[in-house]
Amino acid sequence: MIDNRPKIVKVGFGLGILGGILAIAASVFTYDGGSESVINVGLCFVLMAFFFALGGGFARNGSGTWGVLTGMSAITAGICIAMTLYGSINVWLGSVMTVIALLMIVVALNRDTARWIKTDRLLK
Amino acid sequence: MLGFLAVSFFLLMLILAVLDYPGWVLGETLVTDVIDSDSTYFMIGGAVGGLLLAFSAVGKSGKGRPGRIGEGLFIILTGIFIVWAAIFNVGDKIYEFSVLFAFIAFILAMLSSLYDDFDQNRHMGFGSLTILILVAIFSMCVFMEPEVYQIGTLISGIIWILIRSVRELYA
Repeated sequence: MIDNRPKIVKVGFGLGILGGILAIAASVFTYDGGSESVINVGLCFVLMAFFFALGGGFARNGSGTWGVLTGMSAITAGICIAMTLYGSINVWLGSVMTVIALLMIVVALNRDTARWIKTDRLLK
Repeated sequence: MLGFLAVSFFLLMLILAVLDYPGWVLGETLVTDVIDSDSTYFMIGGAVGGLLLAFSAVGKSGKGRPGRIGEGLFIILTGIFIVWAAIFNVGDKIYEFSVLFAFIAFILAMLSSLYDDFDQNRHMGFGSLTILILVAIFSMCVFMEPEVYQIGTLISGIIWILIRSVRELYA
């Protein structure tokens, strides 16, 4: 199977996986045994799902239209910023994940990504 | 252009109102406290800014673009409600109605703009920014104290209208 993904799409895939792993780590650091921290752990799982979904969207056989991937990137970035500012997760982890999410917006908006999603991805 | 003028003027009047209010601390003082103090700056800023904002959206046409028409309509409503909120006294029922519906109309305007931006992939960058601001406003309103979300929502809205106006200038 030919991998005709542009380099930036591969970067997006990597960023998605990295973001998901960091979200799992954040959920571990967030849990402190109390029942109140369960909410923050749940939010970390939401972030993890978004990051892995985005990574999957940029995979070779990924699905999702350009609009969906762009919208999801923006939502992920918004959630990261909100959680970091609110203190739901460790500030450093939150900041790194925010940067990753913002980079994923850049990846999603890129012209090569759009071209790959609309046409090249159909080529097997 | 009018949208740009509207928010610039409103922001200037907001800053003057805040400087005029004794003991203002960002994130610790309610915006409604500033309005409660019968600030002339805020009243003028709201009235003129709301009018300019409403006029900025008049004439938004878009054959086959219901999102753009919806955005224009809701921006007009937002402007009108802001004018009412500036004119009527704090504590009046119509004041509370105006503030609430200005907020609702503004959120609906952002959602309509989002629909138009993502329809046929027109303005994906601006659409992403709209999503970011919507998530920020939602998070602030749900998780933060009123002292934070009041000023945060105002500033987020100002940023969105500023960028929208600049986009309209170059469209």
